[in-house]
Amino acid sequence: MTERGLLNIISLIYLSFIVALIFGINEFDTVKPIVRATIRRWVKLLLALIVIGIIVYIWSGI
Amino acid sequence: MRKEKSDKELTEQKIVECLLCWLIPGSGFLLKKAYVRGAVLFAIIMVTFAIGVALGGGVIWPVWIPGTEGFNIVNCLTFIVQLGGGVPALISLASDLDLGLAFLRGREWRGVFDLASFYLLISGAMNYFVVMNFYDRYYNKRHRKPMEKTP
Repeated sequence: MTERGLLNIISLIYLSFIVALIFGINEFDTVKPIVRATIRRWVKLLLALIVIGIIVYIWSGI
Repeated sequence: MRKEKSDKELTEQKIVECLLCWLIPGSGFLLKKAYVRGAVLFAIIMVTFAIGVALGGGVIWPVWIPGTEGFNIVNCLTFIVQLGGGVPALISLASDLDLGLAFLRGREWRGVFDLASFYLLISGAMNYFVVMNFYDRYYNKRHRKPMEKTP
């Protein structure tokens, strides 16, 4: 795996976490619901991004 | 007459606070004494922006006129969203001017420039959401839902 590929994957994980965290903070006022909403959104977002990544990978090989 | 004046003052206050919240991410919450929320949002948005700049990203003025060389609608939209970063985004934009801020200029020749600019894009977009949330929480009575005490 190249350095740039690793950087892209780390960025994907970090930026999706940031998006989920900001939405969580905007939505709730206490720590517990923020953490719960953030993790739930983060996992969903990561799964969606992985699915998109797999589709793009398959298409690029055709 | 008196109510009209107070409405005008309230409108001015809304505009000033939302503008401040845009320029300095999270600052609106600090004004409303929600210190933890303001500080956390400031830190998240600034760290994301700083990573983008460290990777060589920058806010670049796009070509606005359709039909001219270099015009790209995606670049224009990206620029608008990146400006959501407030003062840091404006400083990055000003690095093109001769103000001694050349070290903040986007390094387009680097391979990770697009990725770096994406960090700025996310930080700007998140700050727009924060400004909208600030407005909703403190001024938009129609959409206000019962919330627990803000930390």
